[in-house]
Amino acid sequence: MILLEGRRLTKRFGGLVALDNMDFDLSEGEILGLVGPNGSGKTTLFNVITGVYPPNSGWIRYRGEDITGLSADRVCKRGIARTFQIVRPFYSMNVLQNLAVAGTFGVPGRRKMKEIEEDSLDILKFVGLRDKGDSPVSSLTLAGRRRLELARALATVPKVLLLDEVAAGLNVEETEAFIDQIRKVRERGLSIIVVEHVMKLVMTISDRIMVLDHGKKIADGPPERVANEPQVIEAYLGVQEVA
Amino acid sequence: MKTRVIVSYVIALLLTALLPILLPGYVSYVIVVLMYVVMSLGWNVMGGYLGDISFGHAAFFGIGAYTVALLVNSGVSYFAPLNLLLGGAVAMAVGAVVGYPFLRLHGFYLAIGSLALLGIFYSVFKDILASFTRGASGLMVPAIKPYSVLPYYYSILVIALATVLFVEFIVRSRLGMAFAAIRDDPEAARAVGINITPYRVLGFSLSAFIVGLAGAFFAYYNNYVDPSGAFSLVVSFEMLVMVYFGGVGTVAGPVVGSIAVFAAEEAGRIVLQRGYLLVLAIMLLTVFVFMPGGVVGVLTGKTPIVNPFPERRRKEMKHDST
Repeated sequence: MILLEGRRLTKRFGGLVALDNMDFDLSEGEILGLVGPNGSGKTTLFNVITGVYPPNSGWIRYRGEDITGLSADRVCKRGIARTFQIVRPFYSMNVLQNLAVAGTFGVPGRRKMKEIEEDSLDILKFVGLRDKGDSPVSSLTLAGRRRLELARALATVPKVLLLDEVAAGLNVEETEAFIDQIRKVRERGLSIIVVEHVMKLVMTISDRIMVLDHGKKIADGPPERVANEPQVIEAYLGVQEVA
Repeated sequence: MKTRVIVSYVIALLLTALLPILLPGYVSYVIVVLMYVVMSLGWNVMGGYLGDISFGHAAFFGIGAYTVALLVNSGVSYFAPLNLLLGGAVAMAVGAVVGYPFLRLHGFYLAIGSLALLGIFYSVFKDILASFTRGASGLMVPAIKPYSVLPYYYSILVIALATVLFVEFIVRSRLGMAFAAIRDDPEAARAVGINITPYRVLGFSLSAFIVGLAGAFFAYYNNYVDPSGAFSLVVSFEMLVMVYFGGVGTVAGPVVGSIAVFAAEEAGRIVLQRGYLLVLAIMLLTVFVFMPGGVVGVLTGKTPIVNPFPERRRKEMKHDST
């Protein structure tokens, strides 16, 4: 069943067409990998879905409801959460408070603070930051901060999770660990879109891969097939090193 | 709250309540300090907790002061506590109305725009509404008869205490969480479900209310309000120095800062006469260079993270991680 779909999405910045008539869809329980060279429109697509800015044209539906142009906070409350490419924690708060904010404002309705705290602790345990609740964000390593990004997104109790380059800057072991983590997230019943430069990560975890180039979709299918399409190799794999 | 904190609050409260008996000669000084406490706590709601730095808060001080002066002079309602509250309420209402367009600004632009805001209200009260406000000649607010300093003292003491409790309450509530999130990173705040504009407008209005209350008190205590005294850049500057010197984004900071600024002003007036503002400027620069967390930051060993320019910090972070 299709959970999230976008049709004919176009986003222009001045003369630059960052998204050009793009279609996409995400099925329930699916992990969709989004790849493409720098500037191909991956992050723009994320921003359009999550309401950072509206598309110039086209529409997005989530569970059959139109969410095109909804503000970021509303999109989050509907159940679509994201992480940022460059980690953006709340620096004045400790790790647990970061999650508590998300659990307080990212979920519709008013929940008891006690409940929010318990859920936040569960999520911290789930992402492997169990002992870090009271730590300041600045004490976390980069890998730890990426886990915090993920945890904070999960604290908004999403159905769809958009991960923007979660493995950038991580070493091999950290990346492997993150791959496991993302799989575990899916087992919880979430559908996930992953933007990633680390090819190993996308190829291993994605059920399906969508390749973007200059704001257009140039391929869409299972990883093995997409990786062998000449157009893709030319646009992306042939140019960039495979990490 | 920790027992120690509560005990120290109680002691401080007792001492200030008994001050007119213990040190009757100092009452008029402490009145000014308490007024400063209210002003700076008000400024800190927006500048410290929301991270929106304003140089224009004297506008709300002036609006509060003029509200009282106009009410008293027009003979409408001569019940002081109500007039004080109305002073705050009018400032708050103005804050809410101005807030929606004004808070489209962020960071540097907001800081500079706030100067324009102050300029606007100065002109409005001095020139545009001159037929009501008597322009530059100002308005008198008669002192109570028979005169005693005590009603003034206990009024501002109650206001200051209520303000401390109110700000403590805000900081510990969900509202305070939202403020901190918005201050730390507006875009991340949005991404976790916070609709930031209403919160910023609310913070701005609450800040305006508290500063307006201080202004309303000022009108009574000073017996006189004029545009250049009420809508004064010096007043804005004082709030800033008090907050940053004491410790931005804390409740104790503005209290400490108010005492320090008052003492520095008095000392400065003795040594430098009209040049006393130099002392405040030196305090501000010293704090920025040597102790960004202010006095409270030095005592607690923490530097409060109040960066009104998250854009800039994000870039710094990017360099850190790559």
